Parts: sequence; structure tokens; C-alpha cells
Amino acid sequence: MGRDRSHPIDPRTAEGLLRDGADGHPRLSQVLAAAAAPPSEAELRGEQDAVYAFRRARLAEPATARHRSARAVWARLVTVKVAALALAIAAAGVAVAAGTGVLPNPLRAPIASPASTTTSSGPSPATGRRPRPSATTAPAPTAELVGLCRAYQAHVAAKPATPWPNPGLAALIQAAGGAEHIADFCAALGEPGPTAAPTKEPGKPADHPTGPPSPHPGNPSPGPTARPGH
Amino acid sequence: MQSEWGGDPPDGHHPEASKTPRQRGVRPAVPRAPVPDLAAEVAAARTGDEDAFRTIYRSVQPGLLRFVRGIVGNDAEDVASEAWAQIARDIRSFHGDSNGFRAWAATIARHRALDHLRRQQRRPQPSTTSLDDLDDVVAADDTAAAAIELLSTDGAVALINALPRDQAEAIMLRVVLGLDAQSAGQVLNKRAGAVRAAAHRGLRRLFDQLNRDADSAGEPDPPDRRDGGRSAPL
Repeated sequence: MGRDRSHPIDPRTAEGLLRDGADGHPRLSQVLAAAAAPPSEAELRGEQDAVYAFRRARLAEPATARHRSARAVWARLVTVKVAALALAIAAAGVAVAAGTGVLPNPLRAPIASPASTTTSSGPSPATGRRPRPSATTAPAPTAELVGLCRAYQAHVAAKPATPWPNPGLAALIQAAGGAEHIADFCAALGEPGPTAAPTKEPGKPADHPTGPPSPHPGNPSPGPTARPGH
Repeated sequence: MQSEWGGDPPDGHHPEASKTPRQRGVRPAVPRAPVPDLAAEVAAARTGDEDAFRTIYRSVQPGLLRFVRGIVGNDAEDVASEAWAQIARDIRSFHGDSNGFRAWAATIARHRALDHLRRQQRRPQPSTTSLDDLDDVVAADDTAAAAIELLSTDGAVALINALPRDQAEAIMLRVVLGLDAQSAGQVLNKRAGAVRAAAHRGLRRLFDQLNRDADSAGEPDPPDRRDGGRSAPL
């Protein structure tokens, strides 16, 4: 340590250099100043990518780094359950209708002619959405996605600047092939049929942000991976 | 590692003999501007403010990139961009002030860099830059003194990053990212005192190296310095 103090860069000088370079050896202070010089354009060329990442993260708010996949699965499960529930209700409606003789029971008698269901759609509104393949798209997932799309579009219309706190978002992002494609994807789905409404359900807690933000600040960093490895 | 270069240069050339001309070319120390406080921007970015995030990026990225370059060399840009993807994702869960944010970002970047090294299955490749190698980063007809004076950012960063790892990291975090010893210690998983000591050792070493290189670089203006390397002292 005695050697440190006899060196031209004694601890005090060193600390001054590290702090702001104001007092210290000129030559050294200039090297440090050059190292801390304002950025070149090249150094900032990743800006747009970083901003895109930021945008995606905003869109997928609840999917934090660590819980992303778990949440996505969970969100999918919820939406699927809701869709299944809707189907069950619809089926019940059909069953009741069938039981009352209004229409043939589809569960027991898989009647070949789709015409029969078509004719039945009049009396029972609940059956309209179920067994009959819609002219444009596939049945169950589409209804789910249409619902998500509608909820999403409604949110964007109402509060464009805020993230959409819907747990079903992950499924929507996946279906659209990326957060930035959601708008197009939803637009491409066309005007959603009125029957798609029930699947809007998972988006219900629209007012409070889903799930508390992860309790660990910056969960990725200081803690778990903090071992520098040497 | 204590400086073996303390005292007179090995060739017996007395420091005073060559100091005067160079000293003329060296401007007095200029204080560096303090790093901007980002507390407001961080708070805004956490609620989704994109402009605030841009401001943060512009302020933090240069230091992050230069810091990471010391660990992964030429892959620094890729690693920094990975780090930003993570920062963008997790900033919502960050709590702290401006200094804390810089330290947090540096921690993420460092982890991405170390991950990168692990992926590459190779050890950090210490850059061996010295003033000798800096001809291409300064204007052609510079003397050794001017080479220091006009040292580009890349050259300066390379010089610092050529120090032993712990010293380089400590100096980069403190000087280029503007962290205090405490925060730098958090990034490096060390106590503040250890970081301070490493940074001081690095500065002494750098100082000795600068003097040695400058002393052996000869008097001003060997015109063909670039072609044939350096003219011999005296």
C-alpha cells in the first residue's frame, strides 16, 4: 500500500479521475474522457430494435421474462375453458331444444344432413353458433380469437396508449404471429359474428393490471445469475 | 499486479528528457460531464412511455456497449441488443433511482455477456491493444503525444479493456457508465472497497503504460511512423 501512495496516481487522485476527471493526471484524464465521450451514430444503431422490443413488451405486459411460458399456457387454458363452457351451454341449449322436439338431438343422432341444423337455427338462437361450420373460418379457436380480437380492438379504441391487461393476449400474439401483427390479424378476421361475444370473457379484469408485477425487481439479474463465474 | 514500469523506463531513458515536448501537446484535464439523471424517464418508461425509453437508451447504450466490448469483443453489439431486449421486457419490474437503473442495466448486460461467453465455450479474449496499435484510430500524422490527445473513443476503450479484467470492469463501470463504487460493486458482486481498489490499480497501471509508451515513442513527428512503425527513441 505504501507503494500506492508514492505512485503519482495515489488513491485520492485515482478517485478524482474516476469521479469526473477534474483533478488528476491530464493524460490519464483524457484517456478516460475519450472512453466516456458522447456516442457515435454507430453505437446507437440498435435503438429502433430496442424500441420494438419495448413495444412488444408493453403489448405483452403480463408476460414477464420468467413467467412468460407459464402465463401463456395459463392464459390459453383460461380462454379454452371459457370457450368450452360456451360450447357446453350452447350444447345444452341444443339438447334442450332437441329434447323438446324442436330439433333433432345432435349428440345422439349424428344426422348426416347439415340442412337439418340449418333449419333449426331459426327457433333456437343458442344453436346458431355451434355445430354449423361458419362459412369463413374454423369453428372453436376462431370464436375464441374473434372474441379476443374484439376485446383487443375495443381496448385500443378506448385507451390506445395503455397496455392491454388481458391474460388471453399471449394466445392472441401467438395466433397473429407476433404482437405487431395483431391489428392486421384481427382486421383480417373480419367483422366478428355477434355470437363471438362470450369469449370476450377472459378479458374481464380490464381495469386492474393483471397479476402483481414480479416481486423481485429485475428478476433476471442481480440474484440468480449474479455469479460472475470466476 | 504492481507496476513493473514504475520509475525510469527500462532503456535508461530519463523521463524528464522526453516529457517536455509531449507535455506541450497535452491539454489540461477536462472534467467529464456527469451522467444525466434518468429517474423521471425510468418512471415514465415503466408506464409504457416510449419516448422516455428512447432517452434512456441513448443515455445508457454507449456505456453499456463499451463495457460489454471488454468482455465479448466484437460480439458486443449483439450482446448489447440482447440486453436491451431484456431491459425493455423487465423495466416494469425495476424499482430504484437513476444510478440504480444504470447498475441494473449493466448487470443485465454483463450477464448476457457472460452467457455469451459460455455459449461460445471460450474464455474472454483479452485485447492486447497498446498505444502501438492505435495508429489506425488516430489521424495519420499524429505524434505519440497527439495520439493520446486525439485518442478516439474506441482506442481509449480498448486501452482500458486491455487491463486485467477486474480492473477494466471497475474502471469502465465507474467512468463510462458513471456508477459509484457501491453500484459498481453490485454489478460485479463485490464490495465497494474491492471495486475501488481494482479501479485504482487499473489507473496506476494505465498511467505507467501511457508514460512508458509515450516515452519510448520518440520525439514528435516521425513522418513515416505509420509505415515503418515507430522511430527509435533519440
